[in-house]
Amino acid sequence: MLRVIIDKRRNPYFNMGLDEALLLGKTFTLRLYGWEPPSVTFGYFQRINEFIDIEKCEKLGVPYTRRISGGGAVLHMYELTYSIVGHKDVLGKWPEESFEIILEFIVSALKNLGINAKREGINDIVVNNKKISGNAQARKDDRVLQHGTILLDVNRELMDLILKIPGVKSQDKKLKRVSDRVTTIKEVLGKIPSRDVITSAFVESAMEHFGKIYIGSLNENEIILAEELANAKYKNREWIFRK
Amino acid sequence: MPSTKTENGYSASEIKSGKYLKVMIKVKENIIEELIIHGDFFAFPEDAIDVLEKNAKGKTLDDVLKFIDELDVHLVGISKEDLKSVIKKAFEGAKSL
Repeated sequence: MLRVIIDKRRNPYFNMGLDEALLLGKTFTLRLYGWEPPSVTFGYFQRINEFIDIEKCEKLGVPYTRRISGGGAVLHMYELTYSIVGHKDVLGKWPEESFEIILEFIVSALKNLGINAKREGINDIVVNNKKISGNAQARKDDRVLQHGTILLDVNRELMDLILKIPGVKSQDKKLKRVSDRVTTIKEVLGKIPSRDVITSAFVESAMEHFGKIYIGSLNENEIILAEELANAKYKNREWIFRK
Repeated sequence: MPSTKTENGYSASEIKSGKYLKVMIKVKENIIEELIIHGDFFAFPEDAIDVLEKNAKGKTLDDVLKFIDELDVHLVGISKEDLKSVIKKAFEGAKSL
């Protein structure tokens, strides 16, 4: 059975520590969460100063850390974030299969909210050709972790200050600003539905895609491991600046 | 096609193929001193890229291209061919440094 955790807003170190703790565990879990304060995470393979203005992050008090998953840099602010972990027999034996299975679940959830979204490329979900959700994946042994964002609203000024586009990408997409590329639930629906409505949409989609669910909570061991990882790894400059 | 430029003593080459990939390389007398591979792609297991970078030190371009062929890695957003062509381009660019 899928355990669904309606989690709260946490700092980036604990959020990433917890996602990794869940990957290292044995459960089948969907966690819905948020970020406090606004934070930046970036992909395992990214070079730190290419995609993010670290100086601005420091100046503005925006904490940042490196994920274990690949993909790009994200400013986490007004968003619903999900992570889902489980065995590859359920979540996809190959990375592409996992992206397909899990992004279908997200697209469905958005449809439940009245949003006509579709997949684009490997790991994006778009509405009217603008990105509303970015997703990233990590795998370990037989288990899969996928986590992603669904934008409720956006502070375009902050996003454009902090996130950079390296030369090729901006030419490729003919963009002037990073934030030109994104849209939000608020933009699409004209409002942000209540937390309960949004949660229900995702829980409904989870039941459609993964069968029986129960609303559960984190156990003590998961919290302890998440804290250990947050302190030893995600707060650690050696990890953050490894590339 | 990958483009090339120099950057802080490195020869750099980048490509956008699904995802963004950039390689930075330092070469001395045809031997790779340092190789940095970065971008917003996915690779499984993720440490395969770390292994590739470490292994490239002290090797020739051909060694590294062969290593990539034999490397057990599942790339998403870029291909082994992308990786090889960007490394080749960066290596060629390094000759002019």
